[in-house]
Amino acid sequence: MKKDSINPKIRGISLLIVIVILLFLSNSVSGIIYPLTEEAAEAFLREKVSENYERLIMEKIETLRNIDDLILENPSILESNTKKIMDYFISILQAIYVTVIILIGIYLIFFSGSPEKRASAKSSLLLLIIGIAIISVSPYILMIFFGISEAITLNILSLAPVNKNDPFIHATEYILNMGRHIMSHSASGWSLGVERAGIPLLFIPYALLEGIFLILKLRFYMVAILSMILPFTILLYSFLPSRGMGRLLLEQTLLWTLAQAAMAFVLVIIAIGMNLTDLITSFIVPTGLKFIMELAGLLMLMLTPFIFVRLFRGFLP
Amino acid sequence: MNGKGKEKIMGRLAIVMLLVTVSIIHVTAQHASPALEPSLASKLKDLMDEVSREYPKMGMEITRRIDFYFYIADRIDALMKIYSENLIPFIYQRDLFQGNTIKDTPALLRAPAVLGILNLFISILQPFYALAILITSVYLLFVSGSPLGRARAKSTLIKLILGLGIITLTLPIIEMLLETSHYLTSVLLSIPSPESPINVEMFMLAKEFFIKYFLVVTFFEIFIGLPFLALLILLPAGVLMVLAIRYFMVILLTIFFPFTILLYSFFATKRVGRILLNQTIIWIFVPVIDAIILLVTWIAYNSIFSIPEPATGVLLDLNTFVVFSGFLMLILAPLIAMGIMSWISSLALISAIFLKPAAMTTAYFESGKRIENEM
Repeated sequence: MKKDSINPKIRGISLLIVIVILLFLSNSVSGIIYPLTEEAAEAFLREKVSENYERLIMEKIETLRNIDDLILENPSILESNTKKIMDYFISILQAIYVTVIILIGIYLIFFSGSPEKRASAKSSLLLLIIGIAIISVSPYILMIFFGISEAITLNILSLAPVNKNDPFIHATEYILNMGRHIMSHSASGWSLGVERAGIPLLFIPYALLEGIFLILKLRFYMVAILSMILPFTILLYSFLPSRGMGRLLLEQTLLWTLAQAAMAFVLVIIAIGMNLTDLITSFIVPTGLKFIMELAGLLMLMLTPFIFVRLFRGFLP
Repeated sequence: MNGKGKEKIMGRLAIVMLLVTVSIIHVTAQHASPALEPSLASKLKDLMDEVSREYPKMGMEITRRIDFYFYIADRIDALMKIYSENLIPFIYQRDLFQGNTIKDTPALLRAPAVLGILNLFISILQPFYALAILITSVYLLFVSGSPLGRARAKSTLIKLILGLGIITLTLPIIEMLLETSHYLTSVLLSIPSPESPINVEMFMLAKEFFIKYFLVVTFFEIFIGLPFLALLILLPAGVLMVLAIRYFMVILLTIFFPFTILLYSFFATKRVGRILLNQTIIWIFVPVIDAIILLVTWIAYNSIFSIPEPATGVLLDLNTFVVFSGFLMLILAPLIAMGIMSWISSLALISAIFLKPAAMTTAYFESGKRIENEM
């Protein structure tokens, strides 16, 4: 962005005029000193506020540099409380399954009616036995699935250019600088800072960065919750009347887990896209336009899990 | 010094003039008080004493606001300059994707970074394709069950063989689509006569309209001026952001194209494949949608100015709203085409709620009128 183009001489003269008039107007020297002191105190305060915001945003940027780890993070099934809750659900379901299997066995042995009923009871028995096996090993199935998803994500992330976080850092620093400029004007003039307009501009970059982390955390918690109820999901999916609900839950489990791969893919594409704009010589992308593109990329990354889950919903038979 | 600088000087001069005027009134009030009526003089003196206490603070506040205003006006001007200079090239995005053959720039989609990932994906998929073709053929030859299953397997086999060809031709296909989109866009944008080609500067009208309000309101209260400021920033930035997202989405969907074709080939994953294929085609043709909106806005803008004027101000305001809706449509039209904005149809509920009472009220008044006429 271009610098303020006003002549410093004119600035100086106008400042002098203002001071002379103020002196002339106030009945005593304290009349002018007091507001000036007040203004200086406020300027100091504004400077402190914007400095603190900057420190906060710099911390977030440091976290952003490790975005790979955040994207790759999945709830650990075997070590955490997730396993305890899953085990609890599995023990309940195992009891139910065993009871039903015994009841069907009794039916088959003692009450066997028509051949059709016997056939359907037999196929139910088979389904139940398969079901109890799958539910018992569901934590391990989930672990394998997480492993596959993480491997895909890691592979995609390895395709990224080295400076893959730069677009997001540029975009947030651009807004931060604008906010700081408005909050505590300035290197070359007599202009005064504006607090009420500056704070939203300082807050926006923080909110954007925090938004990415929040969405990554949201994905993490969604995956954790959906993995805890995975035994129930399998139960619901294996019976015809409750298949709709089971399908929905299973789909959500798969999609929220694979959302990490989608986010990694979008991250890589944005980095590649922004890098390529430097290579093109026939269409020179100005800094402002580049900032807008980076901002668009940031929003795209934030919306990726939601769009991904919405777009692919209903893919299971 | 440019016009902006002059404007700034004028602004500061205005403050100084204001200060001088108030100071003159102040001095007059202090010195001419004996000539006035005692009660009025004392009142005036009290007032001026209060002013002299508050005055330096007030002066500083006004200076602060004027300075803020000019800083923001500068930034908005820079943004509008970026917008008006880059909108049409950015709608085309041709140089970004296909390169400029004159300057021998490498085409974007054939840049090593994109080509590397695409080739990797294709090489991952080709064994899967071979395996799928093998399994389907084995099914057809040995397991062939019902006629329905056989027919389905046959069509899958044909799709797989076609798909294998298509994924190796990913880049030419996407480039062909991009070229078609570019051709349609250029045809649409060249519809206005060469004497009056589409002038993106028309969007300045909306900027001037909002910045006027922003200026007026900012002097009273900065916080209330901010929504106007947000509009001023969001409208041009939003249009460019949708186009920037298109730029990223074209790269993304190009790289994902082999998977799209694979998913589209199988019966079970056909739905997902169709969604992805839809998205690919719509994102590629976003420039055509934007070109139509731009063209319509330009025609409306011109036709309003060609009406014999009843009052200039009204026409200007009318055109401001034409341009404003042009802005909104440039942002929303691609999203509507994508189906992202389908939630907006739920707003029809509101109209449905109000429609019946409105219809009843109209019927009531019309019947009343009829009765009056009959009487």
